[in-house]
Amino acid sequence: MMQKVGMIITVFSVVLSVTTSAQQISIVWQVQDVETQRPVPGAICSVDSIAVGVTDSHGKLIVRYTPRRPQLLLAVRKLGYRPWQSQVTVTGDTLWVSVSLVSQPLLLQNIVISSYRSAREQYEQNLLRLSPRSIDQYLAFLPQISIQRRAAMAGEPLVQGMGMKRYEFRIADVPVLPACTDHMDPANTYVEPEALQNVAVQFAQSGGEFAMVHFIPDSPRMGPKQTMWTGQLSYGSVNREVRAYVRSQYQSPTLGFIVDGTYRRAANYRAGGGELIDPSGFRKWNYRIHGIAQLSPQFRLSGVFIGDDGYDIGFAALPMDTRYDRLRLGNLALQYKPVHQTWLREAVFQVFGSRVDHYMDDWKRQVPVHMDMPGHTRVLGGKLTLHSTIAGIPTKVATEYRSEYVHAEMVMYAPDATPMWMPTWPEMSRSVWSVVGQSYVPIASWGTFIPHVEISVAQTRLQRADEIAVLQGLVGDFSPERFQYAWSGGIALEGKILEAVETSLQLLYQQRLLHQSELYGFYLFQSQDGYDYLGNPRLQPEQRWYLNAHVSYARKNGTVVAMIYGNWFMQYVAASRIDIPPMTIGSKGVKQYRNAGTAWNLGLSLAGWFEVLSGLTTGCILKAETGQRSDGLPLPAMSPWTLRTVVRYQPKPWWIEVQGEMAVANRQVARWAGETPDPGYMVWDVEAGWQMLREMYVALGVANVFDQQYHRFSDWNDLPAPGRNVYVTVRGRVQMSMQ
Amino acid sequence: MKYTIFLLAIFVLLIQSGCETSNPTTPDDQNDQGQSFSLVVARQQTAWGEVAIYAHDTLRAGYAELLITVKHNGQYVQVSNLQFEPEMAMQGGMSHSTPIDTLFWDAQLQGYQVHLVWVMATYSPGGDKMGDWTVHLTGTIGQDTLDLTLPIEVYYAERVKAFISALDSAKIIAALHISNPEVGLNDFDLFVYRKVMHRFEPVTDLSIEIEPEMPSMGHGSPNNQNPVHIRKGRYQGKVNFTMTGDWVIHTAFYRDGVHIGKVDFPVTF
Repeated sequence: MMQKVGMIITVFSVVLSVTTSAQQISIVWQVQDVETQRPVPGAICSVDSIAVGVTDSHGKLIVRYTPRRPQLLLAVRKLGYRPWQSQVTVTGDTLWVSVSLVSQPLLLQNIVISSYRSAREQYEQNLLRLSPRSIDQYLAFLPQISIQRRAAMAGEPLVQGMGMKRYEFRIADVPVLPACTDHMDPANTYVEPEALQNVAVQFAQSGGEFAMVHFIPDSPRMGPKQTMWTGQLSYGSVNREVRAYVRSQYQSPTLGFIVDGTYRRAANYRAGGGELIDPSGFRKWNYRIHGIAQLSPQFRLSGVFIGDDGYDIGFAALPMDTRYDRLRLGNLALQYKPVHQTWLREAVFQVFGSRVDHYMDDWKRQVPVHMDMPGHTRVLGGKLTLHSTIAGIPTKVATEYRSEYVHAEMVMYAPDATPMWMPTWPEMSRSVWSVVGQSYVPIASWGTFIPHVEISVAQTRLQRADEIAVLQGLVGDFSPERFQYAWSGGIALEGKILEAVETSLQLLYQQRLLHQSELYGFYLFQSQDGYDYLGNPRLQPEQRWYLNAHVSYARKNGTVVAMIYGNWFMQYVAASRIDIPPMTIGSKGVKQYRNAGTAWNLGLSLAGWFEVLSGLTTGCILKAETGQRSDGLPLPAMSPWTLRTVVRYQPKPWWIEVQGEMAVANRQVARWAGETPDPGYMVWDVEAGWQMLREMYVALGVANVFDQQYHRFSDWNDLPAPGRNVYVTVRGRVQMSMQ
Repeated sequence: MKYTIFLLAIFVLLIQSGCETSNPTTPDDQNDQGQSFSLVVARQQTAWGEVAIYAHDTLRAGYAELLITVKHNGQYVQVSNLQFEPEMAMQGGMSHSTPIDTLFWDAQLQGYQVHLVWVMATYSPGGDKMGDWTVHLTGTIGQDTLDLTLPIEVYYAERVKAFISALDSAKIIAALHISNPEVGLNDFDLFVYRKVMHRFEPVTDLSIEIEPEMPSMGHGSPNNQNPVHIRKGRYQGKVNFTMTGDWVIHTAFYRDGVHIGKVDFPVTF
């Protein structure tokens, strides 16, 4: 293990055939992660200090090159990994270079790919992946993400304090539009950690929003014929959660498949101190078929279908629950990769679609008036992505068209009264077309300059005359059609300034497409501040300047990373009170979305990872955020100083791990948004495991060992977190090779 | 061959029926609000033809639109000096009329449109008979005389309210009319009359304030427009229904700034 961590690269393949060096040769790169053996996309490859391209989503790059001398200096760089370089001698017309990168334990990344992968590396990802507990647990370790819990099942990620209205969700590169007006269906609800390869948090190329949270499922692989079956069973005491996962995987030289599924069932959980959180139970199925086929040397076809069905999901922090929540998602991609052309390295054409059907009701609650709130969203679209090398500069151009549909409504049932109906999101269709371009311009041997531009145009149309009429009755006349455009542009610099010091700087200007709640939301009750929210069809697009800088210092036995980011929002969208009667029983009044001038926020994080002794590693991340509107009011969802830490001792085949999370009291709260001060807390988890065989292990852990009653600053209505949870996980894998 | 004859016969029938339906004088034609006079509420044969009264729907207490057709020797005709006099003979022996907003000849429908307010129903909500409505029609058609009394049944609806004016103790009748309530802003008419003996006179000098409420939810709605007087006791305003269901429109009446009374109109859709 020490050797593995200490080395920077491992070269698995070398020169194959022999020809003279004066001719043009092909260099075929295959870059993968040394730990996971999975491809590393986006790695910058260079020859003699000149960048020649970036690896594709399969970690591959093929270039034509005319060597001027027999020895070539090959290099691969990728943020979050230790740089690799090697001197090789050209002896054939094709140079096969297989590189395994070793992760450099950054807790932070900046440009496109998130820190998630690196953070996970800190926890010896191969073992942690074998005993996953939740997506939220992973996301909470990202420096720019906090989790807003409304229920036990999945929380809403807040990206730099921004909720779902300000960023886009994607799963397997398919946009997913949540269908619940109360944020009960963030897209991480539909992803189980066993099927996840990576989470990318992008602040550029974000589909007309300020950011994109992209859940990337692990891909099937092609290789020697092999079939694998995996099974995993977990049990947690705090809510009697049973979790079963099965997976079948097949691979051949030209074909790969994964079929997997997860079933989860949980009762109400108990918070620290014993309080029963009712309702908070749920049932859930998640299933996937994922395939890949090499049709010819140039063409590769891949497809994925993901389904997720949740039932009877209790949302203790809200006045309503989810009766069902269903996702259907598919993506079919055809990849073309010419072998002998230099300017076009890869073209990918995709067609995709997703639909979410959500049904919120309150039949488990004792309320004077019951309600049903069904919501539906659809997305259908296509995307073309071209990776090319023009004048020696790797460039990516992508264009996407998608058609979206959104509708949500509410029916209330008062005793002895006629059922009452109203729209909550009027039926809306939106066509969005976007173009994005990004280049990787090498700056000598120092680093890379990355300019980026993106333009999105959207045509929004409300469909139903009665719903238009009801909205016009409140906000006055407006056109049911709206044309929006949003563009963003920016630059990034990344590179090494000293041998052990890596740094990056990113500056972005962005506009975003407004969310349907902001434009057309109709009496959306927000239980945190107790107001009904109204949309505003005359709202102006929100804009921001975004600055992100990081510096990392890496040595053989440890890494320290510091990051700072800042946002300057213009036409900041916030809701303010208006003088009209509310609708929801108990509501304090009505707020309407308005452009509230400017606002800013600032985030800091400091992370470290150290190998103290052989087999003993420790890591931590410290982060805090603050922000304010131009009128002096604090921004909501700003994280107080929070520290997460882990210590792991792993004398194989045993391991023991202790995790801690602590936060100072949160006093800078946005009372106008319903926030209240939060006390500080300290929580400890412990886990021990035994790897019985190479493919089988058992893990036993206790989360919240001291049964602390606490909540995080972002938890909706201060929903208490689960108390002491004793859990056990057993996992096994059977692998069969075939000739 | 016999199929050809059969098809030909059907074709001829269709042509004939097409000719009949092209007659512009059918009461099934729609009025200017898009509603059809499709229900016969009274009909009587005479020596020279037929008199019929049509309505859009079952007659209920409150505002109504009627179409009166007079067929004389097979032709729809106008009536000279037409008088239309509704009368309620109540169970207790008293009688009264009901206010008529307008009466006019509709050339397109070949009949007389009457817009009026039925101030009470034939039956109570419990089904007890409260009296008998009749319509007395008089006039002349050439050499012939029209003098008919037609019975009319009016069913209960909570669209007409009465109160005693705090200023002069007059009995005021108010009737709410929303043609087809739906979510959003709705135009509405409010008819206000003062009872004088057995007749009703328009009240034209009131200020009226409305406040819609959904009692089961305890909320109202914004952006309503109080009704203002248009003509002959008819006031027009806008009411905003933010959802379907059971609404109540609280209506307050003022004369010269003095509150003279209030009524509540339930609206369900």
